[in-house]
Amino acid sequence: MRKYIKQIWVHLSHDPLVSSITIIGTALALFLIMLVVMIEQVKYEPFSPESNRDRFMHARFMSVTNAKWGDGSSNGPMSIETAKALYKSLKTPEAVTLYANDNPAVASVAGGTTFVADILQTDADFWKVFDFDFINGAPYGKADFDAGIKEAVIIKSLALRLFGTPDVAGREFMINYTAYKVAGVVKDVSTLASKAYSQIWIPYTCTDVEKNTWSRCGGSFSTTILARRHDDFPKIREEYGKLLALYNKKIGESGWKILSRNRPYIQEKEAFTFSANHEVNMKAKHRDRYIILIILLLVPAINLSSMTQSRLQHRNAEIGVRRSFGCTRREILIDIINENLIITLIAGALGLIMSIAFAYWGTDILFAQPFSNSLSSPTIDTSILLHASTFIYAIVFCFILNLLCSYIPAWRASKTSIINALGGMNH
Amino acid sequence: MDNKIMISLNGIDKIYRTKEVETQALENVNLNVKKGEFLSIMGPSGCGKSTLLNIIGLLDLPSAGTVEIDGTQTKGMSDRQLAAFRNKMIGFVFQSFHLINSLNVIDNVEVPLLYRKISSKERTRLATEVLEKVGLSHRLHHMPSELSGGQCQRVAIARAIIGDPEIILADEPTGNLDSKMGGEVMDILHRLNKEENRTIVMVTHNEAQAKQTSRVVRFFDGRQIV
Amino acid sequence: MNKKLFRQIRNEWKSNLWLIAELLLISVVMWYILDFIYVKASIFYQPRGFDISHCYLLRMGRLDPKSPKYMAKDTTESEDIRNILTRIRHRPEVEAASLSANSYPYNGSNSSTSIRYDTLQNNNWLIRRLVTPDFLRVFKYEGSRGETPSQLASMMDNKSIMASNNIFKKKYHIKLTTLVGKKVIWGDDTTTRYKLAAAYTPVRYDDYSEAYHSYSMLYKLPEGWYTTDNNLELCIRVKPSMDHDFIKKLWKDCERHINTGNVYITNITSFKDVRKKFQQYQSNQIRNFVTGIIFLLLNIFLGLLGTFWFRTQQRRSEIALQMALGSTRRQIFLRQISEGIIILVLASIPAIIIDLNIAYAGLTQYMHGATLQPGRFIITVSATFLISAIMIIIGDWFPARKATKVQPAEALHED
Repeated sequence: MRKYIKQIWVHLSHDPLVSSITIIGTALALFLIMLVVMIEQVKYEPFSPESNRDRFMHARFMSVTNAKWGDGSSNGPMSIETAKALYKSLKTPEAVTLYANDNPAVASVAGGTTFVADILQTDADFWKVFDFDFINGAPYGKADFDAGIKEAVIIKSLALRLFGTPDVAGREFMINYTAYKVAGVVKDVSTLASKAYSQIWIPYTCTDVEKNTWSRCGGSFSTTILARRHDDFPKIREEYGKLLALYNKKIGESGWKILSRNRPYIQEKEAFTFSANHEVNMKAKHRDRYIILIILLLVPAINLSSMTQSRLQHRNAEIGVRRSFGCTRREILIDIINENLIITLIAGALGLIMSIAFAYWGTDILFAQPFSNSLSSPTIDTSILLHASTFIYAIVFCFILNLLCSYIPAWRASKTSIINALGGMNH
Repeated sequence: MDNKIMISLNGIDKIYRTKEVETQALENVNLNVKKGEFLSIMGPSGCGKSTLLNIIGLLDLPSAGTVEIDGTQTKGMSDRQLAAFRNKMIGFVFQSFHLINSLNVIDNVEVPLLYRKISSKERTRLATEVLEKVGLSHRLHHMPSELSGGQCQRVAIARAIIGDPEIILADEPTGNLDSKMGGEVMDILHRLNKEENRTIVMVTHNEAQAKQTSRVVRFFDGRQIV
Repeated sequence: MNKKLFRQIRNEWKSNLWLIAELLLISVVMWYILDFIYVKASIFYQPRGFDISHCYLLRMGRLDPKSPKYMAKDTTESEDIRNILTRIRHRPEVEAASLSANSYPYNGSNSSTSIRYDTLQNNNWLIRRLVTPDFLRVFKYEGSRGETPSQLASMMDNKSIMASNNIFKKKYHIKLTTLVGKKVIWGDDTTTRYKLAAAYTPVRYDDYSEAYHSYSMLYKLPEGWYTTDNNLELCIRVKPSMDHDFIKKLWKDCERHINTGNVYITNITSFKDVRKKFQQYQSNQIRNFVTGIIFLLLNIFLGLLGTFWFRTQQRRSEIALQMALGSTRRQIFLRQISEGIIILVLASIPAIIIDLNIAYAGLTQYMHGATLQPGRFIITVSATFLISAIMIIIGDWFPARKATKVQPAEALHED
């Protein structure tokens, strides 16, 4: 191995321009590919408080139609009645939470400054589905939730702004000029945890959000389901199907009908869902992703393969010598590809480091979430950005890139006749 | 020298074709080389002697005729079989040495063994041994660029014999060397022929060198004339 | 000399063909992306029909009855809202303030409606904006006959409507200005006729939508709409000279000087943020494309540099020979570059034909309802050619310079 690397170094320093183009080109390709991978990964790789993303199913919206409307439909978040009938009654999952997004709220302590904060109204199961990191206090429980006791969980930075200290469980503050008690304080949450994210969480029984209804089934609620196991999804869908049929029968008496649009969605599909009135075509999304990756691999590979070709040209004689001493064409081919792989891996590591650095430095450019309620910029840390799969992807793409840019030149080099190779000619 | 025939060429033709021109490089060559023989091939430039050496070394295929090495018919062998055969039977020495510039002396010598199942320890041992034989045991870790021409060619000879081949093919081995270095190289080749009974076929322009070998064949325009 | 150049290109057709294929692929892809960016940029910089600089968006909420501040009814909610508006108007830094429903720019909540005149009826998505007259002053709407925002505002009453100049344009090629003063039917109510008080310059839906496709109409916000249930928006234009820390100052005063009755301010956002948030999806897309093209250009540049380096390297002895025969460095250099440009021209001809077909097939972005527009096509194709040419020149310059620096004897010897 050391011999290999030493030899590669000698070859690389032979023609610095070609070598630097090879390395820069490879690093650049992997840099961009890994940015694409990271932008995608933050949408469905798990991190706290959404550590169970692989067991999540979501229904942000419902779609309802009426016999009188023809093809028309009304789409948006659910009313509490619909959400309870269709999702909260599910028995198969480990937990189901209902929550309602709202306009940001005004928060203050008596006599202090007013702050605007993002607020999410939830039930008590919310704290089972999502795994928050409590610094102080505890989440509000079912009893308090049922009783509509005005309690709130807030993030650390808001606690600091309001009270000047994070240890504030039990203290009182105002949300929209109504008094709430702090139940607990959690570590700040990145907006990238698009379901769990907020700055204040309160029980939805504290407000009259349940009264907001429209089009029979519409309201303010969305749901996230936590399955016991990843393979429970079909069972949950089956149970959901029964609940839906039952509910449709009930509302059908007045001409209404819920259109399922194949809800609830798994995390990946949910991440691509922006509009309430149509179902995302995941096949098309996957196809787009493959096209992007293919372009990102092919374009640099065309360049890199001519670089490989040019590097190999210097080594024709060597190839001839090796062949005359008993090396087969196959071994030549494999040797060249392997050798190139080491270069690709080194340059690829460089690209990966660049992409990680860029991800930290350019979060707002890279990860800004469309259609988000919050004005806060997304924050990023290693638990969000780096997963085992990140490195696996990087290595896999290096392998593919290497094959793309070394196979044809290596094949051509191995096919050259020994005599021509020894003579230094290529054709 | 025993009477076993090591190399047998029967009716070898070699024709190079491009779109417009057809060149006959060899015409009906029949040649037998016995085990332990030191054969010189002579002739003017372009007479086909290098082509012949390439055909004997299985680096090139004849247009017609057959090559038998050590009683084995080589016609129709696959790339893999040819490679294995070259590896086992033949060692090459080229006029311009053809050392791999990015490898040091000992690594260069080890090249033929890379294609056999031999541990790296054993490879190093054998390489050190053959380098000693050519008088270069003090240059093991030098790069080719740090050696003189004569030293380079001695490394090349070490590489040619490390795999213990029956046959050594040398294409003008002293062509790029001055007479003193050339003499050293020739001494080594003679030693290998006499002491180890290796069969050697050498292309040369040097009458004096040819005279010292056991047989000389001469070529002119692709035909054997002596 | 030039004849010889062509002959040489033809003689080396095999390696040139590869280069031509490479350049062909590159120029089609580059053209496609440039065209995309061209369309997005020219749409982006079209006149917007409104102005959000120094503008702020306020949202109002109603106190929870359990709040200690909650007061049993002594004023109505509609009066409270009106009071808040008045208090804000009286602040010295405020130039204009208005109330509206689903009306502010960069807003995804829209109500649609229709307008009919005689046999003319709009067939497009026509946005209904219910606003108080000052809304026109806040966002600086302009009349199509040159009316100022204030003049337009003064024309607004509850018997008339205004609409953007373009609502009948695509279908009937009629500018709405010509119908000003006429009575029209608005919405589903066929019994009442509304006077068309004025037509105004089209107001774009957002920075990525064309004026060509943005249709809207205005009507005075009716009294009955003054409640927090309608999620009314309070839009403010601040005097430019006093637009410092407006949000902070306003928050400070909210609790004591602005909130009144059971209505309070829940949120203050600058329109810069509203716009950013609303367009995040599109700007992410633009970001991806721009990154894509930079990446592509870098790769193309590296590739061409490598390719030409390689070619020149192989020709060192030829170059040396030419120099030995009396060619100047400049001549050799020009010759190398002209060869690159000729190859680029050869690649560009089929590339343009492919581009033309792509545009004709409607696979590119639409602008003014078309994908193939002569001016745009010429601009994007020439830009593609120009960028490629520059890259070829740079890619050639390096190696050619290096090759001509070598002493002829040395290079000849090497071969």
